[in-house]
Amino acid sequence: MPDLPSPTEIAVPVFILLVLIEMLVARRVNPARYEPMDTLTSLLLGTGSTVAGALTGTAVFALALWVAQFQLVEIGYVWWAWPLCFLLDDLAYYVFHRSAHRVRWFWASHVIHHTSQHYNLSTALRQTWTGFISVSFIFRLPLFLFFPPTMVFFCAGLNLVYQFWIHTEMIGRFPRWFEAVMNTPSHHRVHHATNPRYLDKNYAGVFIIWDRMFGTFTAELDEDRPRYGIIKNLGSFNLIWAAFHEWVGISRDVFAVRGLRNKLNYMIRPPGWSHDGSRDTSDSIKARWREDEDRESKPNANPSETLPTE
Amino acid sequence: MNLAVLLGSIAAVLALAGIAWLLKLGNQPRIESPEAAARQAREAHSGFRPTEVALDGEGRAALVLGEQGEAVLLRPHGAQIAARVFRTPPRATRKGSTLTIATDERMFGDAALMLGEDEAARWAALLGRP
Repeated sequence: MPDLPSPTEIAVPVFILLVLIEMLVARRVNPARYEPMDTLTSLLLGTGSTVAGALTGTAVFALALWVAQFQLVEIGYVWWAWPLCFLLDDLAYYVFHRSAHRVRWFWASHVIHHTSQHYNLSTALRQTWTGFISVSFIFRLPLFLFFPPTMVFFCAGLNLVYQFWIHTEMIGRFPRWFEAVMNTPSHHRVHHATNPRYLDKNYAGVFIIWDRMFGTFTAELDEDRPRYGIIKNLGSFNLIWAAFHEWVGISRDVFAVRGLRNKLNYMIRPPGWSHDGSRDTSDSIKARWREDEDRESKPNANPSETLPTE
Repeated sequence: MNLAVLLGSIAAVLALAGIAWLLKLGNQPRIESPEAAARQAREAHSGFRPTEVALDGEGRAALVLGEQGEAVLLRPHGAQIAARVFRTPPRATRKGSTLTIATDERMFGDAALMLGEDEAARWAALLGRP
């Protein structure tokens, strides 16, 4: 078993340097792209995430080794296994990420990454503290039936490093061939946006092909600039609240509602689901938005009694 | 991860946040006009059709009422605006020219709108809290 380095540990100094450069550019271009308290929150949440990862990493690695006992084929470390493993790990990431937005239990852990209303390189480092609790590692387990655990974790590290640089508004769009295959800042801005058009889109890690294949791709439009954050923005820079607020929400809902089915649904249905339909899900938000679009596109629509909005 | 790495990470984090502060990044957001408040409320709540706006004199917060009786509260959060949607008009208290909107969320807090004496009284009455 080769002793592989941790790509993320190697990349940390580069991350810091790039955040610094982006801040200097922001000062000239648009100082509102960064906010000191938001940056501090993102970076401290990132630090907390590495601590949580260190505390639980051994258990996850032990589980990987256990699954690897049942390997279906012994591929080993042959050269072609590396790109194949990287590709399939990226597919596993897509499945995880899509679940993380559509199942509240996984969302409770992942939401932390979306809690900033800014979109800059420091946002990339705003990572979960509760990935172990949400058992989000299960999505990678099938890979250990084919590839050595160290190879899978190395590829996962590379995937995470790739995703760092796409968290920026400094880069517009790349040539079409690149945007067609790779996840880019433009595609990922869509993913972080709360505009109804963009909700639950572009789950890709490295290759945007998965979204194109599975019908979750949407391109960024110049006329609908992304607004970042979550549907119910926290309005607070409290670290603990950012890390645990959705878990608190699940606990409250599960204890308050009657009936086992409702209790279960508050854990596994999409974020925003409620037993009485009183809350918004991304689906209900999109439905209302489409109605609005249809109404406004009709030439003979009734004149609006509402206020103009600029 | 050992303790030295952790302390080094925290030091780097504090340094970066300090640099952001020294560079004067971020700005105090201001809601410029009732129209801007209406637009931001629509962005915060899809399908929302604003009918009336209470805008703080300094543009620091706004309450926007909608066609269906719902309301959207806007207030600054760092360099951005954070919103809360109410299905029914929210609880409000008036003290002189200040109308305070309660969100019943400890972490989000309440929002105070400086409206002027008459406007504050009118809005308090409108929200059912004369």
